[in-house]
Amino acid sequence: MALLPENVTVVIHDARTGFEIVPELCTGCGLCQLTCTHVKQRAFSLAGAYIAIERVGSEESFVPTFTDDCDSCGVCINYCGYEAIRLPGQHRSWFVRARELRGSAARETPA
Amino acid sequence: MSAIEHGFMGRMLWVDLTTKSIRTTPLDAEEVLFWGGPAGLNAKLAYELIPAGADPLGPDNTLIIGNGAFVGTTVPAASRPVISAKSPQTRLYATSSPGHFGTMLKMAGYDYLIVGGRAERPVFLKLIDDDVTIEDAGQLWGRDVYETTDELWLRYPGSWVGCIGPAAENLTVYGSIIFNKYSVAASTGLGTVMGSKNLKAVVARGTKSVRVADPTRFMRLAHETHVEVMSGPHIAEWRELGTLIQHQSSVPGAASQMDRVGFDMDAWIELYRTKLHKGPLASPQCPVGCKAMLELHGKQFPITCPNGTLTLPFALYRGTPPARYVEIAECAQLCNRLGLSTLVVSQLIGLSIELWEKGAIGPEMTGGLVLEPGNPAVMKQLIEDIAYRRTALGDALASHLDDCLARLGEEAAKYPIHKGVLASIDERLTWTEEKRWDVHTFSQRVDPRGPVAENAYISLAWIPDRSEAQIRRYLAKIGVPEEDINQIATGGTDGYDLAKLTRWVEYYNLVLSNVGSCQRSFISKALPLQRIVELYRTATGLDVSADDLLLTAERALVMERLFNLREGLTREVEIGGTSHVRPEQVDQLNHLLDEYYAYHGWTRDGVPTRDTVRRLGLERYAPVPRSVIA
Repeated sequence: MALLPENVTVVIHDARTGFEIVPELCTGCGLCQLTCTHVKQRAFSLAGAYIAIERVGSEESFVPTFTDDCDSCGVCINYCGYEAIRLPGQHRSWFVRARELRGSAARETPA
Repeated sequence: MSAIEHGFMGRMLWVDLTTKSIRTTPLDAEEVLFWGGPAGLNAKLAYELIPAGADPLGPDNTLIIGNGAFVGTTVPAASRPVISAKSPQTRLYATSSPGHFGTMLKMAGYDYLIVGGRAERPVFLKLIDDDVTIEDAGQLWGRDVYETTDELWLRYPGSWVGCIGPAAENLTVYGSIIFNKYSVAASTGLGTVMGSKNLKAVVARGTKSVRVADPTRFMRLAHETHVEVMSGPHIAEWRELGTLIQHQSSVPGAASQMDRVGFDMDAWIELYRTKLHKGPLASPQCPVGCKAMLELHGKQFPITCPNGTLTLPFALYRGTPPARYVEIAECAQLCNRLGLSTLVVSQLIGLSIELWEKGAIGPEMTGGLVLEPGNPAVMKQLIEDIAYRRTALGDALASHLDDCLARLGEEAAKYPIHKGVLASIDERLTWTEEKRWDVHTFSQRVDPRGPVAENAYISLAWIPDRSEAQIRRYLAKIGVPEEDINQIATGGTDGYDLAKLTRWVEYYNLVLSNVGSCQRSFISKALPLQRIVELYRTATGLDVSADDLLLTAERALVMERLFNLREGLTREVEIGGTSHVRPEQVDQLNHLLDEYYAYHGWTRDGVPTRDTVRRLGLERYAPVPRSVIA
């Protein structure tokens, strides 16, 4: 059974960061935001993150967007287990890779 | 004493709906050190704030929402607050941990929200950082969970909403609190406590940060936990099937349960995969996403537990043809909209249908509705009748079970009750002449919250037929000393010592509860006790050991018990109704109870001895009469 769907319908190319956003894969878990603020501010916050997760209407569906402060460090990509944010052509999150490598990615911890 | 600064926000928010007072107090570091987190601290607050014998639907009852040290951090799926009060359903200690809301409560700046009193008119609580107000909810009262949540999201974009539906407004005793439309504090009637206070909803949004004592080491440990979770063997299945996974894999007995009620699980899973399931949904901070977005009639809706709140309850009663399985999803959605515990409702619907078939109740009670089994339309009608307390039957089923069964007549009075709930759904379904008490059924008997299926103390890891090696590995992981591991793995009459096993798993799950962690097996398998200790130390800066955390868990369990003893818990209440089991099985239960109490340092009546209370430092929190403390 595949962890991620093979096909998605909408991929947004964020010109400033160079990242890809796939709204239909975002579950709104907020890990990207907490990781971002850990790296940038040494604290865990949702509102203070350089990535915002906007709810679409009244649904539990979300669109990630990057704020002007984002410096494209990409730590959020590493922590998105759903690959809703990714780098073109190289879009494996640490977790998805770890799954395949059966834990060998454990050495790659963030600063 | 000083407020704790790391891992917690250091503030408790107190709201009195009668006097409209709102204040904050510090959360003291010493208090955190003593209780570990909300599993114990909630029980202590409930003991102090709720007078003995208080009416659970009166202003003296108090709703307590508490957060643990990992909530709002990157520890996977650590987003669970502990919500407590006196239960209108069991009339004992109520507690539930939805996988939601805790994170945003912390971001607004509070570890705790404590709500007492009763508002004169319907209100909701707004917590936007330091802007905390009691708002008029006149226009929201009477509206269902989806409508209420949508309206509050519209008014407060980006907020998280916990609200009740019409069922709790109408004081149906097992009303839920539902967070962001899907995450539920389901059993024990915590939503009904909100309803009794005229409190329709709590809305939170915050811009604050959770700070930990040693960010680098904490993040490294959290990262290792993530990697371990995501390297687990069944993550893709969890993501697609959620809790339905147990019908697919290795849970002995699951299939036979379903066969017995004539439920075609293969057809249901096929329908779930191909038509209903639209994608995973995650609890805050969860990389797995075992919750789901489903689609019905072209519209999507979220659901928290595809087995417990969707499949199991409505599959059980009974003989629904596969062509109508989609209506099972409609029943679950209706319960969510009306704010009802699906498991309790479905048990009561099953009871009603059985009583109808026996001729014990008739159309004069149902408003003319014919209670034929296997007809989802009947179930939907009954769900509405319960939520709105329409018809004599609906009103009876919405009441406390003692009152309900008395109103339904002699035949109903034969059904076994356990702590205000029909003896567990699993027992009634799976009980056979040969069956012995197992980890699942026994732990539900001694659970302070009654036999609620949600959040049972024993994890799914403890299903029958595990090998001795697996048992030993698991016990070592959760911090059981070698001597006890040997005794559990080789003692007892069933190949393992069930009473002692129950005690240790209770402690471990209370540790998880104390830190705000999810208890699903794919998360807890990556959280051995020693890693929890290291995460806790780096989060809070408190110098705690594994033994310290286990002691906080024991305190929590004893504090819950002291609350219940004051409310009239006895050995007889603990054993509960046994009319569905044979005398030999009652004997086995009594024997297990003796062992379980003795291991805990409690008397034969389940009362913590004076030595136990003293060892835990609980004398000052447990001013029970001398005659009670043995």
